[in-house]
Amino acid sequence: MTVNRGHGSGGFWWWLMQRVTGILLFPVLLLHYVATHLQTSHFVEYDKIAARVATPTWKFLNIAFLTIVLFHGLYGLWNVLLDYLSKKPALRAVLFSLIVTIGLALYVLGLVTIIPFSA
Amino acid sequence: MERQFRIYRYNPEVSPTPSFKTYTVDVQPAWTVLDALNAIKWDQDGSLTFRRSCRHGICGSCGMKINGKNGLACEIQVESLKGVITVEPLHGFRILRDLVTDMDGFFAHIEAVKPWLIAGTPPTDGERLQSPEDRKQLDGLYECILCGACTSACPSYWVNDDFLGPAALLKAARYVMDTRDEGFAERVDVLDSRNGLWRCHTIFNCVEACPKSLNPTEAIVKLRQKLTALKI
Ligand code: FES
Repeated sequence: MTVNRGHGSGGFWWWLMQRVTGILLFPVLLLHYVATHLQTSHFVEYDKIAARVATPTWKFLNIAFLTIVLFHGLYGLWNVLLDYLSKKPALRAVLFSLIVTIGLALYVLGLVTIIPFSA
Repeated sequence: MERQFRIYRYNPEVSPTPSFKTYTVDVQPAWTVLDALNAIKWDQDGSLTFRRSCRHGICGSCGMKINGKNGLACEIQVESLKGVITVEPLHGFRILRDLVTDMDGFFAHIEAVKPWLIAGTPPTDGERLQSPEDRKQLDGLYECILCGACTSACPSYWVNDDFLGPAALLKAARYVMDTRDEGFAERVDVLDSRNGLWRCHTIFNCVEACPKSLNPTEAIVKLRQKLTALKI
């Protein structure tokens, strides 16, 4: 009886990153939620939002939010899929590439949306 | 008192489809489910097949699903169960016949974590002594009787029988947490593998299933902490 250990794949650093992004997600999400959805001091207007998004602090926060959410969400999905893929190495490789591609595409899309805002 | 037992029957040599058969047993006071199974086998139907050995909750042979919950047939009193008593083999393992499951994979996973003391130096006084405090750290880890109830209850194992499973990980923790053991680095390869520690999604079914009230989830967390300390 052999044991399928999935040699060389490890998992520690992925797991640790999932924990770290999970913890970071909480304050960043809270801040995003308060600023975006509970903002009652003025009406939501494009110019006001654009001016806020253009500040360096909000740019940093939004890029951090984008990074954390994408990693946490997609790795979470991958972690669920892995349960079903131990005996299917080819499908595992295809799905991993697909998730990485989707992640990178969304990341680039997010960056080109956030970065061009200027005051 | 007469009680009814609805028992999972499967014999691939006779029929590829499993079925349930109900037996009525005159149960004596303080009988366990295993006593009733023995009574059925000895007096009613010699073809009923199940594992048992010690009859005292020590050997781990009689793990099965009784009224939907994993447990040891030799520990569960018939009086504690209501209505018709349904007895099934442990879920998640290949069923060989009736209540007997294929435990080869389960034991291969136990073996994979090297369930023995790995020490670099020979013992000084014939025995490897330990302080009472160090020994106490092994409480809740050494008592496992390898019945398979926890691994059989684990949804991560149901979908992926390559996952080491809670029993093997608890067994690993029993040695990793032993202050006399120096084999953690040797076990990291299998613990930090794709089918190792990371396939546990902290569902806690194993904790509920263990007939010895052990906590494999906590053992897995301890192993993760130990691994984190090693890597960082
Ligand atoms: S017969 Fe040994 S544990 Fe039940």
